[in-house]
Amino acid sequence: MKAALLLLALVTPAHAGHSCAETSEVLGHRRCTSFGAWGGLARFPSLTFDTELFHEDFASPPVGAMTAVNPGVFATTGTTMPDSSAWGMRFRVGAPLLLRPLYLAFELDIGGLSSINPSYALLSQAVAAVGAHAHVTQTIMLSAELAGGGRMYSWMTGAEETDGQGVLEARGRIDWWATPHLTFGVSLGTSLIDAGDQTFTVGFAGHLRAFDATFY
Amino acid sequence: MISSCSRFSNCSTIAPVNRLLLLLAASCSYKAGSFSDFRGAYPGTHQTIGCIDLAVGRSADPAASGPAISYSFGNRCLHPVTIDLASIHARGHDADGLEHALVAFDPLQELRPLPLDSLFFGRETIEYSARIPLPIYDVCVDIGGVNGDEPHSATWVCP
Repeated sequence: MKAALLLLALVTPAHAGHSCAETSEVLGHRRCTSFGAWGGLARFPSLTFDTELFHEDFASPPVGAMTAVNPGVFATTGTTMPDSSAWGMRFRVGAPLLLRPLYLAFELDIGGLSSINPSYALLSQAVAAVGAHAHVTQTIMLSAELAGGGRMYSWMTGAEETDGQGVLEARGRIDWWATPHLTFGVSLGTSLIDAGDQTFTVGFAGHLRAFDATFY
Repeated sequence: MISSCSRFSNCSTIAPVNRLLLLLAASCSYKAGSFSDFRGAYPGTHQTIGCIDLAVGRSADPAASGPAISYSFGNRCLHPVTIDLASIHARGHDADGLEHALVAFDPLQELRPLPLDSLFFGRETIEYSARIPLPIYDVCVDIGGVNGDEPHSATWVCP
């Protein structure tokens, strides 16, 4: 949402970083705004800016991969792999494709891995997602999407260690339109690479265009 | 298509520093039939023309040397509409009661049809004058062409 506001601030003439004292609202007498500022919104693409909290449960990796690199990183007991999970924030920008209701989104995850000892491992992930959504009511929207990209783990064991892997995930999400420009949503994802890896997110999104300009 | 004109409400008074940004920050939208936005109620005569709720009122802006009309409008639909304020015809009377066709004061020739996004709103104030310099005492405007997506149908309003 903040990014949307910033974008608008950059392109709205009267808000280019200087103050302007308007002396009249009459066309031809105004000094700060030109005619038709109200028409600007309709010319914007229907961008969406999501901020989400994610939680991911791993079936096996990254524990296996990282313990292979450095067995001391994870708190393993005997031959049993510990449960591993990650949590963090997901930031996402999306836009509809010409072939509606398809959409494309890019997202960045920043978080941490649990079940590790004694170090703290960071997770960063960047993926692109392609999906389709449909309104089941005016305010409830369902989406299905496929996300692919990569992730990197980094942790300290005297020196910084890193590891990475690919990501391919199928997701379903449901969003509720609280207002024409604001949604709250949850999603569930499952990895198509590592069976059993599951991701849950909850968050909110700001939409530049009302209802993503869906109802045309 | 899902029906338009939702339950979503407009927002209360916020200083008009930056309409567009405040709108999105507060998630304000135009509520069909409300004839109001974050600046308050629309002044003047209320008309609904297709998807457009339009209020036409007289403006007392001191910068205008002739009669000025304020247009306040909201899109009550879930799709953009074209607002064509350039299509408005204006007529007025001088001190002798003679009727004159009026023209909009638009030195930069900015008046043109523009899209108004779904559930969005706007305001404009336009000054009118006779083609010859005469004091004009009352004004009527034909707003039948304001909805640029529909055929013009004469609708005279005398605010």
